[in-house]
Amino acid sequence: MTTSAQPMVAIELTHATIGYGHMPVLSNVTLNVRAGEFVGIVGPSGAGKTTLLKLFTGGADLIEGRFTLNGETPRRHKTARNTAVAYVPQLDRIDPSFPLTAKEVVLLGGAANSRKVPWFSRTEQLRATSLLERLGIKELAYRRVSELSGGQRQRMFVARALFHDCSVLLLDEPTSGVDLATRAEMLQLLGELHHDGLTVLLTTHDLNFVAAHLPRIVCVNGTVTADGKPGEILSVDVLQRTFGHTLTVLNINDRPVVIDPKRIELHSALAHQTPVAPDVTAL
Amino acid sequence: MRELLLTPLGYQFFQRALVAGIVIGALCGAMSVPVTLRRMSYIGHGLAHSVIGGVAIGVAFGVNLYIGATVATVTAALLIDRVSRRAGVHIDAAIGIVTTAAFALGIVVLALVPSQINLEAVLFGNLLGVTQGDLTLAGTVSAVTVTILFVGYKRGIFTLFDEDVARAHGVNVNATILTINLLTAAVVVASVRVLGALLIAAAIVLPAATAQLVTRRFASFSLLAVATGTVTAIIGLYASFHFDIPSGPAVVLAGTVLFTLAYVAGARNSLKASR
Repeated sequence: MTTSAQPMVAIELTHATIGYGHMPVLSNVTLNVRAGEFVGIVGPSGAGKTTLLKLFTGGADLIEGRFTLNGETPRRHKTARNTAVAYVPQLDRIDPSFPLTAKEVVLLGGAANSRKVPWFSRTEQLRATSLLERLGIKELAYRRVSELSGGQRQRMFVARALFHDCSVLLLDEPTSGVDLATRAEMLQLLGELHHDGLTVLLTTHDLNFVAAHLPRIVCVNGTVTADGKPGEILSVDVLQRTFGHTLTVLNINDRPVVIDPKRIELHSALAHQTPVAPDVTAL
Repeated sequence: MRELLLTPLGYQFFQRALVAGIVIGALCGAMSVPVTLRRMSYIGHGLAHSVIGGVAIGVAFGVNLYIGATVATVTAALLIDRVSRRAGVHIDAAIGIVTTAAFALGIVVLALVPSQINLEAVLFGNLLGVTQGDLTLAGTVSAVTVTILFVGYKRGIFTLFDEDVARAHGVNVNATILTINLLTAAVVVASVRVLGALLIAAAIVLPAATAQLVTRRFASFSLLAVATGTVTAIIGLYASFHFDIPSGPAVVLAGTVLFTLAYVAGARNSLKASR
């Protein structure tokens, strides 16, 4: 990981309009992420969370405003080489039938800068094995992507991202499509990477997950609706502006817990038939 | 058996066709990898239609067959790339619009300008028609394609597997996709004489589709696709000679038989594993 001699600000957006071509998805976005921060980006589907990440990877366009990564204005197609950004996509974005093994996927993390033609060098092979070991999936190196579980694929993608020697790690919905145990393992892994000096940004629908574990939340819905510590910004007003409907915020052990009253109503209605506990972990 | 294999080799036209077939079979096998993995097998159909249009226009105006075909397919590949980058136009729609327009233009020109074109040979391939010039073209396209595929191998796989992440990691995804489209166009043009324009599409899908049923790792998958393309061409050309049938359909049917065998073997293995 590139942690030395980093500028203080990893990501800076000032009055930015972001989209695809001339079609804006996000407007008037101002956001500063310092090097080494751990930030959760939350918002409803279609709010522009993925588009925001794609701006950092070169997949979306800055239509207006100012944008710098590690102090530089990135050039399209050169983003990674200039700023060392790595991206972990949503699990359902890939074709699991693609004939690649876990190790081959990890090696792709070095494809852009690999000098040897056409195969990867011995050093690159060893690096991939070492990353698989670090992520606890070394024994799965020669399994096909289709044979891996959601959590194992998630780890494989993080290993690929780390192969790239990144200073900013972007994860799109890393908590969706995995079970609770895998989610906890993923969180621990991201915590370790953050502790090692990596700047981590992730998107999620899961408000209580970020409220419980991340030091900073950015709420997004077409623009940035709130930005700060979970305990300070998770209010009924902010959630109304971000999600478009009323959510209840409880304070349990000095920690905000967000509950959707509609779900409680639904559970109460169902309770007349089959008693169930209300689900407060996922929105 | 020995006679079945050696008799055709006594004819110079078959020797030429066999060399061209082996080169083109391997080439189609190599290109079938990106075409299949990018799920753009429809581009083969599309570019083949452009070939027909290009050949028709070229022949009508007394221009070499390959010049017409090259201009038509390269123009079609560039237009497909351009149109599909516009938000709201999917790649399948772009292929459908651009290539059928080229085909229609060719047919209109043929109707207006009388010519001596052998449409059956253009559509289905002609074993007897393979010339030294065809061999040179196939060899040149092969050399260029193999070199580009070798140099861009890793970036190509990354783009095919996950465009967004490849872009984030510094791969020029747009240039990679354009290169794949242009190489497909070159392979389609080089294959016209042996395979015929109408059946090239199958030849650049079947080898990878067959290999995908058999192997797990990417390197072996790529090599097996090349080997399948080559073997298919050899079997098809012998069948074409012995049964006096057009070479294109013979090659495609040979490929279909290999695919069916791999599919049945794969299904049996899955059944055993599930027991």
